[in-house]
Amino acid sequence: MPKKPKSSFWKRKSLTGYLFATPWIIGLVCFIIGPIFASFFLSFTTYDGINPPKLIGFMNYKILFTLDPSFWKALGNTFYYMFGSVFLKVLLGLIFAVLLNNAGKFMGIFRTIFFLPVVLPAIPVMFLWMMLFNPSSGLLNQFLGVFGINGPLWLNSPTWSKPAFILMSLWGIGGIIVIFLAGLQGISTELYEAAELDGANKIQLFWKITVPMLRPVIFFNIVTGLIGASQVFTEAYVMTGGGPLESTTFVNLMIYKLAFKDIQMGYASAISVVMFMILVPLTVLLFRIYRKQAEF
Amino acid sequence: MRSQKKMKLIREIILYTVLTLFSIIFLIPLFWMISTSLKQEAQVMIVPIQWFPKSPQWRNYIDAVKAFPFFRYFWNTSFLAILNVVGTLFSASLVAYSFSKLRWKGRNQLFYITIATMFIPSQVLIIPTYLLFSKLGWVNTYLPLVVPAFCGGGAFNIFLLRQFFVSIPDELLEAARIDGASEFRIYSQIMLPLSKPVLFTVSIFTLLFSWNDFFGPLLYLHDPTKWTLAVGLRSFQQQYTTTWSLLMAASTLTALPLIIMYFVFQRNITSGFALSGSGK
Repeated sequence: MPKKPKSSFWKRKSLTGYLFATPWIIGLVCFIIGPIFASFFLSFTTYDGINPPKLIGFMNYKILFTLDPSFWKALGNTFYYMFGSVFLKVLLGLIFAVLLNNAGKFMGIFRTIFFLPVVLPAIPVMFLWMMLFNPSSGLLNQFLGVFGINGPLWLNSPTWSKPAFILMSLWGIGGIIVIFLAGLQGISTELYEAAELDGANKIQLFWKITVPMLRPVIFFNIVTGLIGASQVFTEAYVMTGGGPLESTTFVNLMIYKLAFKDIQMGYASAISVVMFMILVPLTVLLFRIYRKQAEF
Repeated sequence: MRSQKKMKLIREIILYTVLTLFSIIFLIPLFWMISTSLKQEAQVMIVPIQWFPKSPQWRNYIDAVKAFPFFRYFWNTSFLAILNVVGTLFSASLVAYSFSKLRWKGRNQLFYITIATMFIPSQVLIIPTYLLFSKLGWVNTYLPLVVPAFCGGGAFNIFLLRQFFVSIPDELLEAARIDGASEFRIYSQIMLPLSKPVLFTVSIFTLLFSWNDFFGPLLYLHDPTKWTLAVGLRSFQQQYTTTWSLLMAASTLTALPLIIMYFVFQRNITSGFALSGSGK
């Protein structure tokens, strides 16, 4: 007898739980899980957005892997940007965080300055860098000229366009610096003091204490950085249009052009699915880290 | 002992020189934006560089604002940003409360799925989401840019709020439950007031994200009167492709609200960012 009211009590509680979670259940199904399945489905079709999608089996993938060099080019460009930008951002971000951590009472001022570009809106920042990259009158090449260096053509050169984007992305390094700084402040100073007593110098302290202690944070920054950088789109759309010679046609720009300019939704979906499959291992890694943090 | 002191001094001098040097390098682009915005067009591209405009052309700002519907875009952008903040605050906190303080079947599984979706490479979502909104007849309205905020406001915000809610002791809520308060009342009158700092962090990030979003408005807003600053600026640039002084004036005006916000709420923004980055 006492069991019945209890179970109805829990039923009611359960109902409240679902009710509170309803907005997200709708969002999750409509904007994430549904679209993932839809992308897989569309990748096996040819679809112009008007006539119903027509199933064509693995045709899109066959074309993609065997007949479309522009896909490989875009994939190469994207990897170049992802690894170049993330490697430099994490390395320099760590170095600057360590420097800032030693800056005592001035740390706040430097942090404010380094983080400022992170909050600036993307489009104005890109216009600004288009000016800075101007081969003849841009600030960058004028600066190099001071040292007698004949600066490259940057955005107008197929060789230098991606390095230019990577350089620009370094202006946003403040985010990583702030994350590393928080990590550094969690390392006990006793560790350093003990090592210093043993006669370790600053560089040894960095490699033997700082880096190992920050390993999870470094790892986290690399993985989130790679996933974030894989979505590079706006820079190329606004600053180069994918050129010169397709040197900045990244995967997302290709998907955008195929899906919304050429209206080849099926083929564009196949590309997005391939990119998804490439990145899923990174997503799984991050999931593991976060699940540990969120342990019930 | 003395040489050790000397070493320390040298090290500090090097440290501060390097940091100051890089601070200047970091500020130069921003300075260049403002400096260019005040130049006469003929002075913009000249060699050697003119660091400071000879006679500041404040008129550039008036001309820029008149050259394209700046105030309309400013209003549209603000409107979208505010709706996104309101939607996210409300729906993400509701869902986070459910994940942290209510017990229901499948809760943990759904929360794991939520965590997994935080890092979904979003490429795979673009086309079907567009088709969905298109079938609903929502293209060229603000709905695709607003409705998702009211549907949970994104996995990351839910996660952030949930982690904070978990840290609030259950005893506080139990007392209210015994008094017969409804869950919604406990959520709105106990939980939310206790969570002001994290709600503020979520608001600022949502605001920044919405203000800077380019892809969403590019994809969904075709009617120029509905455009946001990001898309409007882009079209302005294509029309006035060589008028850098006006373009930089318009860019400065677009960045200004965020710069002001940054200096006012700096502590919240950087600490919120650090929090989000360490996954804690």
